[in-house]
Amino acid sequence: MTVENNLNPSLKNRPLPTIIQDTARFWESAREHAVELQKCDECGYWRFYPGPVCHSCGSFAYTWTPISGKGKIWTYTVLYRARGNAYQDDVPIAIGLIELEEGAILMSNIIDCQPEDLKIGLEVIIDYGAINDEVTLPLFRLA
Amino acid sequence: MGKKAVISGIGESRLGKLPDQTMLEFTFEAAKKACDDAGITFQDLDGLILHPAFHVSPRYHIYMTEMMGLYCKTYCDTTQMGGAGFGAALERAKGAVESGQSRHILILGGEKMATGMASGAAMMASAGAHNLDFEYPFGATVPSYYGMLAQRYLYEYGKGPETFAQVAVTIRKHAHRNPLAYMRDLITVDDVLNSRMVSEPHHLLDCALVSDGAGAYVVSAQGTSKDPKREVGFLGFGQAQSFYHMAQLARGYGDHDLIHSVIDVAGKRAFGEAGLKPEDMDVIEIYDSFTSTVVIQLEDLGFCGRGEAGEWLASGIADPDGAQPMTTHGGLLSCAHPGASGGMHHIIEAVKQVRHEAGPTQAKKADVVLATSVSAVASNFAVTILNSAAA
Repeated sequence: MTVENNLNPSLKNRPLPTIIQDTARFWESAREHAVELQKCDECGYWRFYPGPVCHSCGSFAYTWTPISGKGKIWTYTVLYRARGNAYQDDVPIAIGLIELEEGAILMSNIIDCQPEDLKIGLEVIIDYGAINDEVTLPLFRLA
Repeated sequence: MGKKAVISGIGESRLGKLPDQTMLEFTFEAAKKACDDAGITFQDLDGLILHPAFHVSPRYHIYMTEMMGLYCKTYCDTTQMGGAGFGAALERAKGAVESGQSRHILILGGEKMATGMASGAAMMASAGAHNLDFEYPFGATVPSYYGMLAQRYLYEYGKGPETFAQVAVTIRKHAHRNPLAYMRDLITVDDVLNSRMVSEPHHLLDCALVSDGAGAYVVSAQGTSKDPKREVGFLGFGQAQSFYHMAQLARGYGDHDLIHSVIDVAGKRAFGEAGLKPEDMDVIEIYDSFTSTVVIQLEDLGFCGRGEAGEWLASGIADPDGAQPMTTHGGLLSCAHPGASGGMHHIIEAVKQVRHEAGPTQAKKADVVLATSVSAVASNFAVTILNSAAA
């Protein structure tokens, strides 16, 4: 299915995350268009989502570290119908799991492409889109 | 030490669209039928495990026993495993009965998803089951989660969406025989692929229904129901839970990831306890929230090889007259999906099959019946293997 003006959802009426102390730096860095993730000081594992403990080795030592913004599509879908959700008129949306070159995987939207352009394994590069003054989402576009 | 535990009674409300009944009315209707089936009254119950509806009090289980007039219980709790709770609750109840903690435990769930919520709100309600901070802001709905799982499956095995469509076709053949099923007309693979796209690669007919209804079963000490010959025994149990965020499921651990689910662990335990293999199951009631949910389970449980579920189903083996009829009531895809009780009907159907009381959906051979329960994008699982307790 070809969509007019590519897949470029407005982000209007998107659900907002609850920002807590553990996750604040992530959202702050997204607002600055320079996303940082926690890298474990002990084993080097890049983790996502943010939290106090390394998922891999259990260490509490970490450093917020900028990511390259490069990754690949691990999987994706194009959502055509979101009835009952506040953003139901802002579809279709390409939703994907992006495997960053650092190893972490995160959910995001793949923007500015046609549904038929999307394939698992394609390289993507980070972009950003603001829902409001407080929340900016890290988004991805085909590299 | 108490006696061996059995399923002593089952009950279901009407399923589908029930605008004329409240959620509480049809939920207690199912409870009453299950108790009647076991030959006990509400006052004989001393335990309840409730599968909570969306947006209810954290004390819903206490409230429900209060409405039934059960002042003192020795076991009263909820399961918070989503769709996996239907089977997992049975294992809890079995333990409580066999340890002597309780004598008769009611497992109950019901939800008014079709006529009790604003249009489309059922999908939004269930979004709370998934991450609200790092996933929902990207517009992820339940069908889009399974869409992502399904897309990865197609990529890994070089398959097309007809693999998933075949699940809907097979299950509809069973629903066709069930007068209580909501969708009964036979469908083809093309019908599924030509139905409206919801979230690639899943079309409308790859997705479960949204329904009203309730289910209940009673777990008791063997020989305490009105007709011990109809009691159903537990041959094997298994449960396994993995992660919460879909990105973490994808990143995986060891041999497991999004499309290599931990139901293999639950299955190995259940088959091991029963001393049986997948091919020994006479009937398989596979939880079917989406067609991809079924494909993942069939392969991870070992009913067929990796990437082979589509061909396995197309062979007719899981059809009504096949060697291993699957989801014989028509499941969530074609019979009904009332949220909190959705997967209870797989277990209720399994009990009917073992008792040879399934009527139009009865399989010829149903000595050993497997039922699965799944939730949260193929991350929480329970596997139950039943037979006749008298066997």
